[in-house]
Amino acid sequence: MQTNEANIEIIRKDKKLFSISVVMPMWDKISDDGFIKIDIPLFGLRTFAKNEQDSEIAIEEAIKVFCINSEKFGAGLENELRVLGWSHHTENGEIIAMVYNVSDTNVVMEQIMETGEQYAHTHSLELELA
Amino acid sequence: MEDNYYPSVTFEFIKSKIFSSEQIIENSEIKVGNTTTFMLKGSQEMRKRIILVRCTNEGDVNFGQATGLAIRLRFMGDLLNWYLENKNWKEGGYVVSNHNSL
Repeated sequence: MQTNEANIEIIRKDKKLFSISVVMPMWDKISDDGFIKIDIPLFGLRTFAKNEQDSEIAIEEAIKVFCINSEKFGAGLENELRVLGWSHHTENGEIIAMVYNVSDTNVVMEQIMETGEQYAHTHSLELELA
Repeated sequence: MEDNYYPSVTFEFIKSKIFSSEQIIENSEIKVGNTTTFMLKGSQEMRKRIILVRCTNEGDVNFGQATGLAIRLRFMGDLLNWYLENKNWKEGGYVVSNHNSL
């Protein structure tokens, strides 16, 4: 059996990335210099913020730049996520759903995932990719 | 006195070091808010090629972040020189130029 640890819903209009909704764990920590280090391993990213309020903005920016770069310099968002371990779930017209699963037998990974903070948000990408 | 001050570095310096590493795809700069990314050349998956820099401190890049980038792109020596020249800061504390005045 698999445990579902993260979900993403990708909406494309005329093949162009329109928006994404993502639920996934991430980890933050105050560094020695007083700034917040935010790890987003399910997107292969690390970013920084000056305070908790700024963290939200930092995460949003990181997710957006990942999407833009995947489309412009990578193999497309779905393929870049697949490389990171996400798998295709369903496709319904313009909506593509992907999931990040961890095997029930991988107890260490399951426990690590539980230590993360759940992040859930929808981001419009229409303007950035216009 | 305990040294708990870690200086920030300008985005311009970080950017100049990223470009001088000569591994960057031209015109690959993408900016969203305070986050800027650059893309390294090569055929590896994107997450290994993306360089993310976030201006966290009024346009500047915080110490911890700058150190991580310097290690990854191998400009630690130049970064430490920059701190010394621009912030009078050396690992372990400030540099006092005239010791006799103390």
